[in-house]
Amino acid sequence: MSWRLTATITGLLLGPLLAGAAWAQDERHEEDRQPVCCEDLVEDDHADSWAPRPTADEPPAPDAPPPQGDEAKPAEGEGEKKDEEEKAPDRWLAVTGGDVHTVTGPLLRGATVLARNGKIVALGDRVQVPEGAEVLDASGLRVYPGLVAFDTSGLVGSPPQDATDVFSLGMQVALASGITTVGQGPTVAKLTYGTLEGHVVSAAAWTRLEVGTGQALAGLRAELEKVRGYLRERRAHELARAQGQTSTEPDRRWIRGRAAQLEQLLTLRARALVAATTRAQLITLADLAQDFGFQAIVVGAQEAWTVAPLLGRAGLSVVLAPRARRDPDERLARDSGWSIEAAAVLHAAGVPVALVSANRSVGLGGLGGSDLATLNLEAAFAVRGGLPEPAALEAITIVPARLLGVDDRVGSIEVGKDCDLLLTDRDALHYEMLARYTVVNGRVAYDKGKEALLRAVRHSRDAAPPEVVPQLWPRRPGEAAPPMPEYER
Amino acid sequence: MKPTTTWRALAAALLLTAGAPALGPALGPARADDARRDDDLLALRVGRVITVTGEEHAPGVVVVRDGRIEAVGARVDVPRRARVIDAPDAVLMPGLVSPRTRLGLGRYARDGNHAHLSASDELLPVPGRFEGALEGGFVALGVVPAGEGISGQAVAVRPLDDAPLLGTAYVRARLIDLPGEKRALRESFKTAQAAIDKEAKARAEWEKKHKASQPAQAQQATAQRPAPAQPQARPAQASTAPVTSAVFEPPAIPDDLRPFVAWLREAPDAPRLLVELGSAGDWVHLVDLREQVALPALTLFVSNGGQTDWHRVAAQVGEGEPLVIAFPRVSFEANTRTRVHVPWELARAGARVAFTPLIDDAEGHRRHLEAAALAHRDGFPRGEALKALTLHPAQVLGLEADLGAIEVGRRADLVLLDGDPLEVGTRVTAVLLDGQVAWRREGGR
Repeated sequence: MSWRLTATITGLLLGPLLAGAAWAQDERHEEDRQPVCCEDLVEDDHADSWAPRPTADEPPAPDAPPPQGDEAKPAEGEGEKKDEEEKAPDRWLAVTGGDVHTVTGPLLRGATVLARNGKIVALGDRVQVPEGAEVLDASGLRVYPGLVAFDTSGLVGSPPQDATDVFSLGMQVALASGITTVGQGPTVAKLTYGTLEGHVVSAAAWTRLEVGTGQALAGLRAELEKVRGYLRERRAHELARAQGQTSTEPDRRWIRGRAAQLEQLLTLRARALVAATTRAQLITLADLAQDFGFQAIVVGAQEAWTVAPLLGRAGLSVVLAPRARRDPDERLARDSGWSIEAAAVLHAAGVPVALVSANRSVGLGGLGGSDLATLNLEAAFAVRGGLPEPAALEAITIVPARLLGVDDRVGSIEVGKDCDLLLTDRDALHYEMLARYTVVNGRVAYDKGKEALLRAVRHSRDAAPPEVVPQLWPRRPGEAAPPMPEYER
Repeated sequence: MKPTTTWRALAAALLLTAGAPALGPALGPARADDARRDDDLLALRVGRVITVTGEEHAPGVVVVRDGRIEAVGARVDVPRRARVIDAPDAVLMPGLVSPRTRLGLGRYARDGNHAHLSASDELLPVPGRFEGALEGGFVALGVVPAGEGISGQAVAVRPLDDAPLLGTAYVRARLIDLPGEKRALRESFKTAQAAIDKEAKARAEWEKKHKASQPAQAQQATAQRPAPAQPQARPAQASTAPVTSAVFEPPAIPDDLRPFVAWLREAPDAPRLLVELGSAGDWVHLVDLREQVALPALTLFVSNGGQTDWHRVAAQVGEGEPLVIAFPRVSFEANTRTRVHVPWELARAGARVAFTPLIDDAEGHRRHLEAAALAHRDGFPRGEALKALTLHPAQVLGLEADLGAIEVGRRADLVLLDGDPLEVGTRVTAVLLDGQVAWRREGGR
């Protein structure tokens, strides 16, 4: 009994040390590691922090001294370095002491997230915070990646860079409910409150595909077949050229418009977005996706649960609003209708599920509860239907990020990703969840204590009431004027 | 207390010794009749003179000659031939200026770039058009052309029926309806830049050709080139050397791009550019636009309505002491009941705030002083409030050398009030334009 325990402890202690030793032995890594500044910030060995080591392929941090020896970087890296030097000093943000729910990694209790210029550069409990960094004390708070809303309307303008109102109420409410990245049509944008810097993430996240039936479906198949034929010819041509044989390049002048879109799909450079609700539509789509090997996102797929294994095998992803429901049709001998359990059934069959709210905008009139402001509640309802809690959190963070093709930047807390964080004193799926802070691109985009909108809303009964600001106006007759703040030009 | 004979003697002596030789025969006949009044000479003896830029004089005297202020002070000698307005209870201040108005003008829809159009085209003499403006104490109005996008050039006029022109004030552009108006501004600057590049290219080509053809011309006509730069010599030269003309003729720049070209070339006579913004979000887009095109120095109009978010960017807007037109009002922070004083925050951040009437009609102009008084009561500092009524809007209109303050040399566009201008209830009793009484309250003095 005790020897086993000792062995386990030894293993736990030695494992990291051995790993550290392995690092030390690898001299090439050691050389690389030395100049990288974000690594210098991690005081202890790899074993004690969640900061992944850099690989040899990673470029050094721009402000790090250039690596010595024969590993000097090409001129391109030098140019970047110069640009960096001319720019303003680095913008650091340290979120300290929170329970960091990384989503793709483990829960790190009391860890620090350190970001430079909007990107996470270090993560762990022994991160050294550089001087002059903005520090956000997250002790007692939970830190989640900012939520990702797959489909929204009204939060960003069209085109976002020229039309978004970065001080809009909708944006503030969405940030207050933890959302930091939104898809609006195929455009992906961040809710950069108060600035347009880093606002647009992606302009074409997906390609819409109409599957149809009968003639339309046959036409689509024929088109896909034609594009696939071209891709085969091109591959054969490339192989022949690689082997030194003469070969004429296949004509690609006709790859325009729709054909170009289909080429994007077949080469897996884009995902197809397909609206399919009924079982028949879903089976058709699954067949098509399997036949041609493209990735498809199914929206409005409440009945997908009846064919979940088929969708899983076909590699389809599903976007649904979990609370939408319809009673089963009793005249049918098969499964029909949809319910709160749909998300859980699909997840069990291996279908990636992204959750959206029934109302895709921030509803500012009447009772809320099914709009963007309660995106986290949608995930909670999916849990109510049997979806495991981690999967529910993924369904509003990393899964929609993947479907929007921006999972290299958002959706989880990892070194190298954008510093988009939700800091809250409740569980992310709790119905009382409100953001205490929301961070977008390493900037505090929402601070509940400062915004008048929800400042007075309190969860904890023992929390101090908000400071009452004496009103300067209007004054009642006979009342002395309150002192105005001093003003001197 | 009253000027005595000694004073009169002194004034007469001054006139005889200093004035007469300098002015020469012009004053000759007048000297013969000392009792006659000189219509071009006016002295105002009032309870208080608010100069706006300098100290206040209580009591104070302002001497006006030929419509311009000749002397200001607490102890100024009144020329004996001057007409004298004695108003020991009145307060005298420079006339109010409305920086941006469409008083008495209709609406019409227009978008895109119309920078070549002027609001003066609309100003046909219509009796009573500027009703309310003189009653409110205004001496100049900045009349803007209607429409969206870059709607044209605003002009500064007198608030009289025949709208005498004081000058072109600025080009008005809006950045409210996004993305259209942002695009219109960006495209106009880019097209103007393209026109400049085109001209530079054409000039370079012309110089190249000119140089190449000059030796040939020199050989052909060694002595027959008296004036190569004369356009009249062109036809003769064209026959011999058709490749080039003697004078470079730049490609024509479209009228609507001329102001933009002037801004890009940083021409000293370029008009100012007024950009109207609806909310703090529009300001962020203006900052974004500034990174894309070289905007000139701007005048801003922040339409701080009842619900506002301008306080979020007030500190940034005020950087560099820009001229900012704003409503004299306290607003609610959008969607809350928190009150914010946007003009105050802008002024604190360094902006030169110019007040514009809350409502752009006769009543709005009549009550402008009251609105400013309320803004002052809610914390807007006195000195800034006076400037926001007079000097800063005059600067917006480019008339800061003539209007906006009681200083020697400026136009005598003055307002007489029955009390302090920043006290609620104070009324305008008379308005002077170029030293002539243009309006006075009935039943008043």
